[in-house]
Amino acid sequence: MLEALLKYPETLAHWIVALPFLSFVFITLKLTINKNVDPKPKDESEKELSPDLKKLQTSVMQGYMWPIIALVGLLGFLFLKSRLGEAAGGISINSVIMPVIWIVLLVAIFWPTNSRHWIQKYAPYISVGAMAIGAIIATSLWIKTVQEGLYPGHATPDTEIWKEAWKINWYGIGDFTLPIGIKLDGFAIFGVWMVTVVAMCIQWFSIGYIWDDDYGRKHFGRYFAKHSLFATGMLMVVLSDNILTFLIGWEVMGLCSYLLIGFFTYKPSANAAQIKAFITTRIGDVGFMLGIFMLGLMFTYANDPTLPFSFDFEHIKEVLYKYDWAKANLGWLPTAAALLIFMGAVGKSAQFPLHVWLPDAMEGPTPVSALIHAATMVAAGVFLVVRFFWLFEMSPTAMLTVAWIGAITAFGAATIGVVQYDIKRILAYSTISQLGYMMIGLGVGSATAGMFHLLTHAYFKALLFLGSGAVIYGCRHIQDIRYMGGLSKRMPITYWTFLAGTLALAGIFPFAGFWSKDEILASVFHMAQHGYSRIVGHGEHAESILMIPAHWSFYIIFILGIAGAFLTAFYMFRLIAYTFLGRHKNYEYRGEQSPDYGHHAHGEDNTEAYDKWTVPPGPLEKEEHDLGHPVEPREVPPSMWIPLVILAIFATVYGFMGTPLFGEGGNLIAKFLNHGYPHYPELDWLTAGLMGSSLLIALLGVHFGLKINNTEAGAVWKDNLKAKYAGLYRAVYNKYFVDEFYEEYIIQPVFFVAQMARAFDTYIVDGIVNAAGWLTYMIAKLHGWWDNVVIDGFVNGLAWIVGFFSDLTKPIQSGYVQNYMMVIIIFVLFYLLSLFIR
Amino acid sequence: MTYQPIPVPIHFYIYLATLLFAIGIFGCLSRRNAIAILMSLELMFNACNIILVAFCQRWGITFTLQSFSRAQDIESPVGQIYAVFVITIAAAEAAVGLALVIAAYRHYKSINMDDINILKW
Amino acid sequence: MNEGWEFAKSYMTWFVTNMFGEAQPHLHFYALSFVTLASAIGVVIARNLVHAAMLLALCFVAVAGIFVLLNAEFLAAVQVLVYAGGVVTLIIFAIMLSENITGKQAIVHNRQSVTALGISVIMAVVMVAILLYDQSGYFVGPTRWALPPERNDFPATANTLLIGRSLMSTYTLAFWIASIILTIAMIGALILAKAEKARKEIPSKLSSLTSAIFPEPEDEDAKLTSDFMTPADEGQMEDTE
Repeated sequence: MLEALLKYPETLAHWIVALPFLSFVFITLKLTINKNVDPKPKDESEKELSPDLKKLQTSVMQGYMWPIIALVGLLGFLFLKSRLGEAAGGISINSVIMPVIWIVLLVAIFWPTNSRHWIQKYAPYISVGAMAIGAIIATSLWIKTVQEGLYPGHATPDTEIWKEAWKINWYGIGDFTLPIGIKLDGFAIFGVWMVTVVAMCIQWFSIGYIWDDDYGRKHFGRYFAKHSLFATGMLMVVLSDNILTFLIGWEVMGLCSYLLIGFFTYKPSANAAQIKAFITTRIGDVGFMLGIFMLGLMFTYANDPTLPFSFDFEHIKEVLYKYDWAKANLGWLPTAAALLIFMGAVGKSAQFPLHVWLPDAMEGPTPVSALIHAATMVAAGVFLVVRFFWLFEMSPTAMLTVAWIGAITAFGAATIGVVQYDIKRILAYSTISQLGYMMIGLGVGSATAGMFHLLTHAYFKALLFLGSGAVIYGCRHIQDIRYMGGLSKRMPITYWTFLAGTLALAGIFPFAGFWSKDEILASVFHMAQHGYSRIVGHGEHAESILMIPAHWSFYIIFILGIAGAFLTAFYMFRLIAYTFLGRHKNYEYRGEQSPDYGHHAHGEDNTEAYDKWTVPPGPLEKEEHDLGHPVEPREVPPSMWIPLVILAIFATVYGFMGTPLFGEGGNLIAKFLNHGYPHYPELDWLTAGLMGSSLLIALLGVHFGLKINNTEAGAVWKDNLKAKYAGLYRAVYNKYFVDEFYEEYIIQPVFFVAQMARAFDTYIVDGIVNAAGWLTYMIAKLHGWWDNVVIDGFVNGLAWIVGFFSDLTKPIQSGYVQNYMMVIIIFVLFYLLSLFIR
Repeated sequence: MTYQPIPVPIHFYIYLATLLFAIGIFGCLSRRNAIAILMSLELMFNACNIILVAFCQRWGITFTLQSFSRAQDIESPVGQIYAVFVITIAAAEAAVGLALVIAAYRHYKSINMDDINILKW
Repeated sequence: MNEGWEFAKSYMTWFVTNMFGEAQPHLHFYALSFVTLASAIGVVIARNLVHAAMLLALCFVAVAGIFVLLNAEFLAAVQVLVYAGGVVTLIIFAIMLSENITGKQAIVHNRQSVTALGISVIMAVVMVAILLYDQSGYFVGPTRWALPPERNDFPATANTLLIGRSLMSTYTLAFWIASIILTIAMIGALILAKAEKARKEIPSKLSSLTSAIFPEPEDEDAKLTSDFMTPADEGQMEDTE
C-alpha cells in the first residue's frame, strides 16, 4: 500500500505536516474542553514571578501568540485543502484528509470523558504515533528518492520532477495570487527524515522522563501537545516552498520554544529563560522580516511586469538573478537583504551576538532541550540560510560575514564549554559551537557541508541530550557533573550510547560527526586555496563565476575550526570522564547543602545555594529520606533507552551517507544535497590528508580530555593551569561576560528609556485623558438631571395613563376557559351572520 | 309499479350534523366537568365527520387536481380520507386532553373548570 | 278489484321494502339520527359522568351506522374501534382516576349555561340557514345540494381498497405526519400523565443509560498509573500520595 501511495509523494508529504498538527489540535481540544482536575501545584504561592515579568509574560501570550496559533490553524486547513485538477495526483486530498480532520475534531469534542485524565494518559500515544507515521512516510520518501535518484544534484528544470509537487492558491487579490505548497527537493527530503525520526525518538524518550516528574505528570497532555506543535512548525519550515509558510513555521517554533522552555511554570528561572529566549530570537526575527521586505523592494527595482512579486523561493530566485544589480549600481541591495535574513538565522541558531538564550534554555525539561538543540529550533536557522543560499551567493560580503560569525561562534562557544560543570550547559555550548561550524560551511559556499553537518549533528546531539536526560533521570535530577562519576557500570546502555554520540561529536572515524565536520573543514581549505565560484546556467552553457577570491584570512577560519575540533573532543571527553568514569561521587556531596549546586538562568556565577526549585518535592526526597542516603543511580527503563539506541545507530552510521570512500555514486549527500562547493568529488590526497589531520587533532583532544580529568596527575596539572591563568579562566567561566555586557549596555538603557516613556505616559498623557474625563463627567451630570426630571417624568406619566386604562378593562379576563370559548363562538356567529349581509 | 330507491337527501345529513354540532357547542360551553367538555368536543368531531362522509358520497370520488403545470384526474374518496385523519387527530387529542385533565386533577385536586380560573390578569 | 290487489301488493312490497329493506334507507336514517341526537343530548345533560360516557359510546355507534348508510364501511369500523372502543374506554379510565363520580354531581352546568343554550340554538339555526339560503340571500332550499346523477359515481363496494390505495399514494405524506403526530401525542400524554416525581426521574435515568455505555474514569490521581513505570516507581508514587 505504501508502494502505491509513493507514486504521489506530495500526498504523503503533507501528511507528515498534518499528523503532528492534528495530534496537537486533538490534545489541546481535549485539554480545553475537559475539566481540569489538578490545576496547580500547591506551594506555588511562595515563589511568584515578579509582577513586571508576569505582566510581560501575559502580554506576550495574549497580544502576540494567539493570532499566530489562529494563523497556523488556518494554514493547517489550507495545507490540507485540495488543489483542483489532477495535479495533486491520483488520490484526492479532500477525500482522504478532510474526513480525518472532521473525525479528529468531532472525536476531540464529543468523546465522552469528563476529566482530563484520559488525555493526560494517552496524549503521548497520540503524538508519538503521529510522529512515527511521519517517520515511516519520510523514510519511504527517502528510500524512493535514493532508489530512483529523482532529485539530481544541480537542479535543471527538466529533471526536477518533484519541484511543482503540491501547490494551492491561498488567496488572490486582483492579479496578485499567493500560491503555497510543498517543496520536495533533496534538502527537504533529508531534512524531513531527520526531523521526524529525531522528534519521534525524543517524544518517546520524554514519556518516561516527564512522567518521572511530579509536575510533568500532571501536565502530561500539555507537554505532548506543545511537542507536536513544535514538530509541526519545523516540518513546515522544511517543506515550505515559499517564504510565507516558512515564516509561519518559524514563528510557531518561536512560540513553542517559549512554551516548552517555561514548561515548569513554577520555576522563576524557567520563566525568565523563556522570556529571554523569546525576545532574543525576536530580535533576529525583526531582521528576518526586514530582509523579506527588502526582497519586495528588490522586486520593485527589478520592475519586470511579467514577473510579479511572489513569495515562492524559486520565483524570487529567478527574478533576482535576471537583474544585473552590480551594473545598476545596486550591489548593496542583495547584501543588505542577505545580511538581514541572516539576522534571523543568528537569532534562531544562536550565533555569536545572540547566542545568550540557548544556554538558559536548559531550564526546560531535558527532552525539550534535545528537541530545540537537535531537530527543530536551531536547525531552522541553518535551514533558513540553506533555503536562501542563492541570495547569499549574490553577495560575497554576506558570505564572508556568515563564515566569520560561524568561526567566532564555533571557537568561542567551544572554549566556554571546556569550563562548564552543568551537564546540559556543556552540551548547550557544544551545540552553539557546532552551529558555528554549520555557518562556516555555509559561509564558505558549501550548503552541502552545512546541511550534512546539520543532519548528523541533529542525530548525535539529540542522542547526547537524551543521554544526559537519562543521566539526570538516573541521578535523580542532579545536573552537576562533579557529583556524578562512575555511571558506566550503573547505566551501561546509557553509557555506550552516550559514548557513540560523544565520538560522533568529537569527530572520530567512522562516526557521523567525523565526516560532516571534516567536510566543512575541507570546504574552508578549498576556499582558502581557490576561492569560491558559482556555476551559472545549465548544461553546455554552464560557466563558473568567481565570487570570492582566495584569501589568507580563510586560513584563520580553518585554524579556528581545527582548534574548535580539538576543544570539542577535549570537553566531550572531560564530560565522559566526569560523568561515567572514575568513582561515583554523589555520596560525598549530597546530604549537606553544597555551595556549588544548582545554577541560575541569568548566567551569574554558579556559586549559589541549593535551589530547591530545581528538583520539585516529590517521591525522590521521600525515598532518600527513607533510605537515609542518596539513591543509587540506575539504568533507565526500556521506553527510554530504545530511542537512545535508535539514535546511536544513526549517529554511528549516518556519516556513511556522505563518505567519499564509495566513489561518486555512493556519496548520497553529494548526489542529493549538492549545492555550491562540490562535496568530496573523490578521495584524493588532499582530502585524505585533511581527514587524517583532523582525526589526529580529535584524538589529541580525546587524549587530553581523559588525561586531565581522569587521572591524579592531570588534576594537579589542571589546578596549576587554573591558578596560572585565573583571569582568563574567570572570563571563560563567565562566558566572556556577554550577558553582563547586555545587561549593562542594552537592557538597562532600554529600561531607562521605557521608564521615561512611562513617566510621560503617566503624567502628561494620563493628565490630558483625566481632564477630558472630568469634562465628560460634568456634562453627564447635567444630562442626568435632564434625564431624571424631564424625560423620566414624561415616561412615568405615560405609564400611569396606561395603568389607569388597564385597570378599567382588565375584568374582561375572567379566567374561565369556557367564558373565553363562548366569546370565540359568539364572534364566529357574528361572522356567519355577516354572510347574510350583502 | 316498480320501486326506485330514493337515497336520503344530503340536507338531512347536514341537519343532523348541525344539530349534533350545536349540542356539542352547548356541552362545551356549559358543562363544569373537564371530561364532559372533552366528550362534547368528540361530539363536534363526529358532526364534522358526518358531513365529510356525506359530501363524499354525494360528490363522488373523482375530482380534478390542479397542479402547477397540468390538471390531473384523481380517483380518491377525499371526504372519507379526511374523516380518517380527523379520527386520528381526535384520538390524539383525546389522549393528550385526558392526560392534561389528570395532570390538572393532580395539581388542583379538582377537574371542575370553575375552580381553575388562574388564567386572568 | 284486481287493480286494487295489484296496488295493495305493490304497496305492501313498497312498505316492506321501505321499512326493512336495504333499498330504502330513510327509516334507518331517522332511527339512527334519533339515537344519535338523543344520546348526544344525554351526554350533555347527564348528571352522572359514567352515564354520559356510556351515552357517548351509544352516540358513536349510531354515527357508525350512519357511516354504513353512506357506504363508508371502513370508516364505520374505525369509528367503532377507535371511538367506541378506544376513546370511551380512555374517558372512563380518566373518570375513574380523577374523581369518584359514580354518584351524581350536584350541579353539572355552570353559570353561563342559559346563554350557552341560546347561543347553540342560534348557531344551529344560522348554520341551517346558511345551507338553505344562497350567497345573495335568496331562499334556495335543499335543492342547492341536488347533484347531477353522473357525478354520483361512488362505488358501493371496495371502499376499503380505495381508501387504502389513496392513503398509500396520494396522501402518503399526510399519513406519515399523522403517524408522527400520534407518536408525539402518545409520548406527550405519557409524560403529562406521569406523576411529578416520576417525571423528574426521566433525565437521570437517561444519563444513567449513557454512563452505562460510556463509563467515566474515576477522579482519583492514584488511578493514574502508567505502563512506563517500573514497579519501584509505582511504589514511590503510592507512598507519596
